[in-house]
Amino acid sequence: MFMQASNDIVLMYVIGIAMMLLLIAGVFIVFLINQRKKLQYQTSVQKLHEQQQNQLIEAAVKSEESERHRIAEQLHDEVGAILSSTKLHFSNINSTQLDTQGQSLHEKSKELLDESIQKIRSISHNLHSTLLKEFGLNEAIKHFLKKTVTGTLVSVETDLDPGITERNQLTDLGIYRIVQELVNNVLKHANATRLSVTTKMTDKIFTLELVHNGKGLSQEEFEKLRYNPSGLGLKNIQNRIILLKGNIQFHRSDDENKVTLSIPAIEES
Amino acid sequence: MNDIITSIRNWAEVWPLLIPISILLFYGRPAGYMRPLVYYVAIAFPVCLAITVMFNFYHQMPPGFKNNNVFYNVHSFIRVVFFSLFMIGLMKDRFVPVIRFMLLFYCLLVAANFILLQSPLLFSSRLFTTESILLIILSVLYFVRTTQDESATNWMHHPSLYVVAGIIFFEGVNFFTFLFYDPLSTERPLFGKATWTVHHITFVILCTLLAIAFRKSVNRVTHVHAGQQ
Repeated sequence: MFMQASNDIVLMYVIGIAMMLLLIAGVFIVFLINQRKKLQYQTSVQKLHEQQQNQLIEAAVKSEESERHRIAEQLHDEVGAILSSTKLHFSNINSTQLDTQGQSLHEKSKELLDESIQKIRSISHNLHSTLLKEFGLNEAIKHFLKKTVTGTLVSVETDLDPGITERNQLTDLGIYRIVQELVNNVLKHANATRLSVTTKMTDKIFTLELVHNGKGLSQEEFEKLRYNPSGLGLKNIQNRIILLKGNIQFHRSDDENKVTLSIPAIEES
Repeated sequence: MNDIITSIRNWAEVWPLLIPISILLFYGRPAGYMRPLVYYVAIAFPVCLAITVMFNFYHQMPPGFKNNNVFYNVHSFIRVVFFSLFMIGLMKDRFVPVIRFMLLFYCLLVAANFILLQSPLLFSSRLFTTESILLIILSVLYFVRTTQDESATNWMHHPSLYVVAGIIFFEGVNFFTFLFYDPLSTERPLFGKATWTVHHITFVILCTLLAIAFRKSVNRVTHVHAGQQ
């Protein structure tokens, strides 16, 4: 009788522990399933949020692009046409009848008029991406660099991968605008004398390296400045990078500064 | 070899506590809500040391220092108090009054038990069983709370999960050890001794999980500071 009772206690003990372990395992399984579901929901919400943000950025970039086109066309077709007509009329003035000072002023005015027409053409081409659409990214970058550094003390070297031909036009436009922004920043702020732009395509990743010997930004400075409301350029770069699902890295050292842009290839749709 | 195993077993209420203590010493202070557990470890260590020294050197002990039951009761009491405080610090919501009430009720029960029913010099199976019930309820409350939580906190990787996993496992397994302690120790002493080995194993697991929680919590604190700089 005594033995039977103690055996019952042992049995109850063993069954009790087994039940308790099962119960604990059950609680943990329910907890894990619940937490996983919650995590999935949060990830999907975050994805949706990112998607919305990207759509907003895309809309802003597209509207900026269409505004650039509108301004470029108006400059080229309206201001450019007026200036060309002015030049035509101006050429018809018989300068031989003028005195020496008048002739000198006439010549100077003609020069300034020519320069204005050139400037308007240049600005219009910069804003418009005709060259990019017709000749591709490499030619557009080369042309832009040549045009931009003319008249400055900066010497430019380019080493552009000739294999980059068939690309998505929107991606090319984004890269082109980033290069424009970066080069303009170097010319404005860096006091550089050497600038080189290299592109290459490896494993469906487009990489662009911009190296200069002036004053450059570090990654930390870029991270800080891109949230600065007064600095529009870096914010534009960041928006375009987000849109292209790419990555930008700033590296500063004593003798040179490097900006590396990596963009995954997007098939032409 | 047998001597080593016996020594490990005989000191199994002391050395597991050195795991979380060494983590605290090497990696520094964990997050604020872990503080009650730091206090628990700091107080439990001398208490468990006293229990084990009295047990292992029973014959060398002076007559008044041969009974370690009072220290077992103290250990059980501080475990409930500090784990409850940990839960209060962690939850900070509508469950807090419930936990406070349970803690207060437990303290009253303990006082009533030792004043009216039992001498504190006896091993109180009743006290340990109540501890188990209370801490299992608290662990279940934790799971209910995290299930209802809609914040971005990832509870699957939260240090507190290791603590609660340790408590629920320790208390769940030992509930029956504590409940049947008196009949087993009198009717089946050998089996009773074996169940106490189970208790020691679960205590090692509890201490290891506490150490992991401390370590993870220190990581999180460092991460937040790095982000703020």
